[in-house]
Amino acid sequence: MREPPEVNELYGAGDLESAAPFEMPVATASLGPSYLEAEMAGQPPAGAGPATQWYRGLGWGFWLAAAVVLGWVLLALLANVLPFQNPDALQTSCFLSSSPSAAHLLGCDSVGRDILSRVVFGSRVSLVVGFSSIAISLAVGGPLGVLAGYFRGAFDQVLSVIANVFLSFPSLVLALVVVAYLGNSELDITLIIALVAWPILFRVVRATTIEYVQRDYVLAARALGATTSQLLRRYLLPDVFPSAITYGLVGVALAIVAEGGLSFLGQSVGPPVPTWGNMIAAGTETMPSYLSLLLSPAIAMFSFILAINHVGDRLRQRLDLRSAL
Amino acid sequence: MLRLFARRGLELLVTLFLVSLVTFFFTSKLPGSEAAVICGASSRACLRKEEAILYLNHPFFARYFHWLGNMFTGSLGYSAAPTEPIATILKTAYPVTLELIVFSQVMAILVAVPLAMWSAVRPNRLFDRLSTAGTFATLALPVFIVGPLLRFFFSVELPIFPGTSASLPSLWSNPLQNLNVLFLPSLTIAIGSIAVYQRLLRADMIATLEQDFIVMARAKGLTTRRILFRHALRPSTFGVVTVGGLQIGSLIVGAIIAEQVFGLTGIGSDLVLAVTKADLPTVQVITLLVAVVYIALNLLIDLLYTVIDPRVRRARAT
Repeated sequence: MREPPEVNELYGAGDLESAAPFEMPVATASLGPSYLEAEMAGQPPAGAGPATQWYRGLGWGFWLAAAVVLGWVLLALLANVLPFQNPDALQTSCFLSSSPSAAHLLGCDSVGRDILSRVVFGSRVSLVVGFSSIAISLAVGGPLGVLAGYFRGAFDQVLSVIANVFLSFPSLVLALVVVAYLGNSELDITLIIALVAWPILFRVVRATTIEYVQRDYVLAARALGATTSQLLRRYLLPDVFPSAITYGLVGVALAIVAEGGLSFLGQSVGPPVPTWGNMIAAGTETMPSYLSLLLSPAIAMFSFILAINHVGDRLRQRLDLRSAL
Repeated sequence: MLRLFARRGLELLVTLFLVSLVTFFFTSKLPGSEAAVICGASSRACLRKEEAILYLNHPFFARYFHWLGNMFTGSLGYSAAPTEPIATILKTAYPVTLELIVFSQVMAILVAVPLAMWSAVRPNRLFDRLSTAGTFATLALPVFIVGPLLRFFFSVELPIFPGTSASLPSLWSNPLQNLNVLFLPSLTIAIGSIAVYQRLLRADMIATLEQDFIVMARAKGLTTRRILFRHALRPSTFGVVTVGGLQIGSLIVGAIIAEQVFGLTGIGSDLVLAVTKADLPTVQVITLLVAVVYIALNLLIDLLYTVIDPRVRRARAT
């Protein structure tokens, strides 16, 4: 018998997609009659521990990462209120020296705009698009995934083919084409990334649902005469929802990368609105002389993606460990 | 077996059909009429002629099937402004992208396999922790950050490699120069793949190394190297092969960005150019081509399973 941390190390570290086509033999040991009784009585099973303690023992790395994510969210929300300079102002004090100074901590770009405030304001597009596109994808892909995984059959087949059609395009290719079709406002970009992302979340939720439907307690509930809607709401949703959320967190990172890619190619929200992607592109063009223009948004983006990936990953490991017990 | 093939085949046909429909749908209404882009501000006669060629005054499905028919017969059409056969554009672009992707995967495998093996042999030791943390961090580095940084460090600060290159010498006539130009763009794409492969292979390998047949091999006194390469590697590659197929999408995305950063003319930069110029026929052909290649490669990988894993072959036969 492998030790629990080992199990979580193994199956938590995989890629988002790895579980779907080639299902791994995750240990799903029988939970025993006491678990079943507790579950039927609507109480938390003794083995899984009180649900309120999900946050314990996640390690300082998790909390640091969570703080970074929260920090960026607050910066993006409060950018107007905090004493940052106007990100669009062309400052004469900046024309001659682009290097960092006390007035401009990260220096200025080639037309004399303060890079620090542009990085902060640039987080807005990334975060708004990242979180809202994934929220839309979850709202669409989640319920469809649960239903497809529960009912299977023709309904599942039709939805799976549709999801596969959208997954047949490399993300950025589909996004580029649809940007040309729809437009590049913040709302358009959000919808486009949701269009690219929903099939992934659909597939993950569907695969998770299929796994849970096969469990004994679902069978027991069905034997006791639970209706379909009871089964879905009381037994499947509480199990599937947390894992969908953790995948959603990783999805936010992917969405931000997708928006960044579009921005980098000049196809996302247009100038003068700062985005991390278009700043990196401008920094690449003006390379050695405006290095801060390349590095600052790159580090900002890296810190955010790393942090949210870590938060999502740790929570996913935690869930895997719990469901493997 | 036959029914399985028939079902897979049918699913594939439906998927391909819908993919072409989606492509056509989203590209048939790009801003600016196609005919106007081709003709510029010239005469109405030109507009009328182009509209007839492109079936523009027909309903959506008539246009779609006309286009699909053309794709099937290999008449890919002409790019708008400057008018050029799309087939010619593809002929110069695809070898660059193909080589870029193949080269990047060779690099990624050469780095990821030893990293994963050494990590799996001693899990949770210093080397494993470092390499696993390192790959986790690189997962947070998108290609459009890696590319510019590599270009900055290895062609601006240390001018070892060319930053941007207008032309790419052929691999066959001038291999050294060719690889020199493609090294940084390929590395840009490889870095993401290294992380994905290392993590998957490491996890699968740790699981494989706990199996009885490995204990048996050890008991027989085989060397670690032999056990790793001859016994453990093959059964640990399924995850990598699966994700390798799914990775192709992100490799194409990587190629689009890398070509842009390093100024190469490949499929990716042609697509971006076509989108910015609203060159509709080119966008359609490239999008469809990329999607079809992606589907075909995934089908190929599905078949590859049966080669690397006899168990799948048996399971599918029943």
